[in-house]
Formats: sequence, C-alpha cells, structure tokens
Amino acid sequence: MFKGAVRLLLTIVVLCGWGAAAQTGEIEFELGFRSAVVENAWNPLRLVVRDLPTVEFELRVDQGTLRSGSIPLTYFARVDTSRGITVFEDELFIPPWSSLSWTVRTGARTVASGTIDPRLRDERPLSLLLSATPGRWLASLPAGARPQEVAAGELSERAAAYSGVAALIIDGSASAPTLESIVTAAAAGAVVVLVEPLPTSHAALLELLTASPGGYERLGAGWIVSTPAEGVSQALSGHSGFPLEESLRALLTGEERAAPPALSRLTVVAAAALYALVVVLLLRFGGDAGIPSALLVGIMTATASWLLLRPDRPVIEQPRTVVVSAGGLGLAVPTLALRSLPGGETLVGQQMRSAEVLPYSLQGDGTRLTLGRWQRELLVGQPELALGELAWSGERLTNLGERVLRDVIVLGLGPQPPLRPGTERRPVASEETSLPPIYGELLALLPAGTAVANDGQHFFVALPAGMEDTL
Amino acid sequence: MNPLRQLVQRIVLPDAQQYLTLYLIALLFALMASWPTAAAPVNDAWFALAYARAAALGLLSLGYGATLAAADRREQRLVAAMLALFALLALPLEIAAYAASYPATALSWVLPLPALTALAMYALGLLLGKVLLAIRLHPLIPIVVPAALAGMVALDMTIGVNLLNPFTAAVRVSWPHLTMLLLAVLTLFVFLSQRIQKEAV
Repeated sequence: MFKGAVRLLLTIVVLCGWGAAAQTGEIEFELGFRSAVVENAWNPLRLVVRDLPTVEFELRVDQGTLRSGSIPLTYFARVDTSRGITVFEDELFIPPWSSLSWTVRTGARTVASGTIDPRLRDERPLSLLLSATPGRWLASLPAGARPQEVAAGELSERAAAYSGVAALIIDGSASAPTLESIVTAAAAGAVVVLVEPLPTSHAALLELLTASPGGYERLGAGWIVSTPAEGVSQALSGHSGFPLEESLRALLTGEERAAPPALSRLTVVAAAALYALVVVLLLRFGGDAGIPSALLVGIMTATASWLLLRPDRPVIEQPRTVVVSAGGLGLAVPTLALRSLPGGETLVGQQMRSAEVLPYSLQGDGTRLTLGRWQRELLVGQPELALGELAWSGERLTNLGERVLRDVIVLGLGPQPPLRPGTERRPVASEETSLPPIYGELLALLPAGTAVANDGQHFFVALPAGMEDTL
Repeated sequence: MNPLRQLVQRIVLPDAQQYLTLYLIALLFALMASWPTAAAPVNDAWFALAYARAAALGLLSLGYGATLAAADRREQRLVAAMLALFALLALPLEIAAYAASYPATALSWVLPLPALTALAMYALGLLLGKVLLAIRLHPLIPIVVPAALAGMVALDMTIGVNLLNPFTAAVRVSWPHLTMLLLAVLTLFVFLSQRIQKEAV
C-alpha cells in the first residue's frame, strides 16, 4: 500500500517535471557564422525554437559611445511556431556597438536571453574555411585575415549573409555545399577558392568554371577561382570582392537627394511684394470695393501659393538601386533617400539600415526611425541576388532590361550613346571627355573596362568578366 | 453710414496706411531673409514669418489699444475691425511660407491665430491705456507697450506655461494661450457692446 503510494507520487513528480521541460522548451540563437560577428556588415541571424508556442525575439544594439550616449538599434521579430522545431533566419546589419543583447519571450515570460561581449567586436571580414582540416589553410590567408571554420549546411543561400565574408575556401575534404550557396557567396562579393583536385561530390562546383580556361571567373561582385593547393595564397591576394560600401558612399552621398521642388527666393519675394503693393493700393484707392477686393485677392493668392508650394507628401522618398554584375549574375543593393518635412516618426515599408548612426528599429512592418524637420537620411537595404540588366556579352555591351539605359560610360573608352532595351553594341572610344556628374566619385573606384549606366532609378555596374583583378 | 464705408474711411487715413505698409514690409523682410537658397535647402521661412507677424501685430495692436483708451466708441470699434483686417490680409504671405516649410503645426491653428492675436492684444492695449490714464502716465505709452510685450514673454518663461507669449504660440499649438486669447476677445466684445448700450441710453 505504502509502496504503491510512493510510486504514484514519483510518477506524478516525473510527469510534472517532463511537462515543465516541455513548456520551457529550448532556444538556440546564433549571430554571424558560428557566432563570429562582423561589424559594419550584414550578419546571418539564426533562431531555433523547440517546443514553444509563438515567441517574440528582440535584439538590442547600442550604437552609442560614452560621448554620444545611447543610440539604440532594435530588431524585433515574431516567430510563429507550432509545437516542434522552428528555424527562423534573417540577416541583420550590425553597426559599431557598445552593447548587444537579445531576449526571447513568450507572452510575458522571458525564456532565453543573452549578450555578446563588446570585446569580441571585430570589423575584419571573415575567411570561411569549408574543410575537414581548416588549419591547413591558415598560412595561405593574407595577413590580418579572420579565419572561421564552417560546415556546408551553415552556408546560406541569401546574399546578405555574405556581406561580411571576404573569402570562402573549399578543399573538398568536407561535405559538399550546395551550388546555390557557392554562387550566392561569390555574387555577394566573396572570393570563392576551389582547391583542386576536388572529389566527384564537388564536381558541380567546377562546372561553374568550364567557360573560363584561366581557372577564374568574376561572378556578380565576387570571384570563383580554381587553383591547386599551393596557389591558394596567390588566388586570395590576386582577387578581391567589389568595394560595395565605398561605391555606395561615392554614388549616394554626394548629391542632395529627396529635396522638394522649390521656388527661388527672388521669385517668392517678388510675388509677395506685388501682392502687398496690390493690397495697399486697393485699400487706398479702391473706395467701397477696396476691402472686398483686397480680401478676394488675398484668397486667390493664398490658394495659388498653396497649390504651387505645398509638397505632395510630408515624407519624400527617393529609391535608388545599385546593381553590380558580372558573369550573368548581379548583386542588387536597394537604397532609399528619405526626407521628412514635418519630422517625427517615419515608417519605411521594408527592413533597411541607416547609413548614419541614429536610433531606429526594425520590425515586421519595416524600419521605424525618428527624424527631425527636413532631415534627410539615407537607408540601405539588404543586398540580394539579381540579374544585371547591363551586361557584357563578349566585347559587346547588352541591355537585357526593359528600360533605356542612359549615361552609359565604359571606363577606358569614355561616354557611350544610350542603350535601348534588348540591344547590344560594341563600345568605341569616345572623344567626349566630360563625364555625367550623376556618378559622383564612383568611377574612380572601378577597374578599367567596367561599364556603368542608369535608368534614373537603377544604377548598373557591369564589371569586365575575365581579367585578373585590378581593383 | 454703413460699417464697411466707415471702415474704408478709417483705413485711408495716413496712420492706417503707414502702419499697414510697415507691417507688410516687416513680413516681406522676414520672408526674404529666411527663404532658403540652393545651398541650404531646409525651408524654415514660416517660422521666421510667424515670429515677425507675432511681434509686429502684437506691437501694433497693443499700441493702438493703449493710445485709443480715451477715444470714442466708434473709433475703437473701427480700429478693432481694421486690425483684424490687417491680420487677414497678411495671411496669404504666411500661408505661402507655411506651404513650403511644411511645419508640424496644424494649419487650423495658424489660420485664426493672427486675427485672434490682433484683437486680444488690442483689448490688452485698451486696458493698459486705461491704467496709464488713471495714473497719469499716458505719455509713457511708447515705452510701456514694448515693455508689456516683453513682460508677457518673461511671465510665460517664469511660470513655464504658454499663457500670454505670442511668439511661442505663433509656432506651436497652446490651449492655455488660446483660452487667454478667447477670453480677451470676448472681454473686448462685451466691453464695446456695453458702451454702445450706455451711449444709446
């Protein structure tokens, strides 16, 4: 009888314990490749939720310093999950920071939280090693490189994840990655080095280079290079990804964008003076009709000035996308120049990062930031794969898009005529020396043979396909 | 004689013409000084214009009120209407600057404010004039009027609430200030209508 009661109690205790464990569930959080966070770059974010109902994930980054005070960047995501395992992945831009913490809540209960030690801050890009013996390649990396071992399954197929990756070395000793992840890494700006000979499981990767007898191919903003083991060091030093950040800065910050249309001071003051003169004359010489006439002129002037001077919307948005392409694939970076005329909280309908250090938050509905009156801010979105509408086809320049490309320039040959949709043309040396100011300082960053063009909203950079790196 | 004709006859007098011209020139000057150039695209013209309007209209209305404290009922009524008309006629300049500046202040606040300010300051000026007459300091009006305006600013800064300061209220909605304006305007109307009844009797 007594033993039976003890057994029953034990069973109840065990069942209660199991129930509590199931309720607590399990959270795995990782920022960066194997927690190697790269500052000033988009980092892959991975949250694994086991056996928990819907959770709310919040990551807080303080971008401030002792001098500036707190400048928070908040990332918020609601992960809808049924019982079982849910994997949530995204990419998050990590600016220079003084503290970084995260919390996972379900309802009012915090189920997991953590911080990242500020001493681990590092803005050096990663050199990913996909190898069973990663130590073998450390000596081949350039000085100051930041090696990080990865497994094939950890390689993302989203371009933004490779924003902080300089190189990816694959020697075939580990399991083969997907073709998509390698193409994405290269297009995003990484130098992908395939160490030959590769086993048959990796044969699909080498097919990427079948059209390149030299063993290297520019793809998007990066490279795919095939080399024997002794040539890895040379392959890494001879190739580098496209300088995306510098190019964006050169292209986007020089111009006063998102400014509302305005009348000149002279025009406005002259019109106002004319109005004042008419009013005074009407009151002085208009007799009984003077006052009604002056009021009527006032109403007409107020209406006309409102229609003429009032901007259509309180927030002016000017989107511009930069597409860097080579080898038939491109990396598109959406940007948005934003100006809030009355100021206050502004919501942008997509998740973007600020080009300046200012407080903002990223949520499911987009990016929220508070701007001052007439403050202009430049936002940059996640890089993503795209087809470059401006492409080299041998020695001919092709417009693969549906819009006329203007301000066409080939570095080394000069300005070229506009390129109509679906047409291709062999560029010729131009006698025209003046370059359109719309490209700012961008042209100085590009290698010879690069073509640039735009359709007003999209800026295309077509890198020359095959030659050794001159960047 | 109908009221409109009386007002026309009052407005063509030299003092009214000169003050209206000066008022409009002050606003034009503010507009010219603050309208943005290509180098500085931020348009803050409305703020400068609103402050200039508050200062000019405040001084003008206080001054007229103080000097007309001993005037007859007809003159006081006509000047009240004239000041409200001045405020209305300058509104198109303010609307133009408001449209281009796109401030966060609501237009529904900006539109009635000048006329209300003019009438409220005029009422305050009448009260001020009566007091100065009573204590035989009427010749000090040119000093007391700007001092009164400065006093309103100082009082608001001291108590931390925008009750009387027309400059703060010119660019920011303030319910306490609106209450004070409405009280002053109501008092003005009651004051003038009481005198009309007395004179009629």
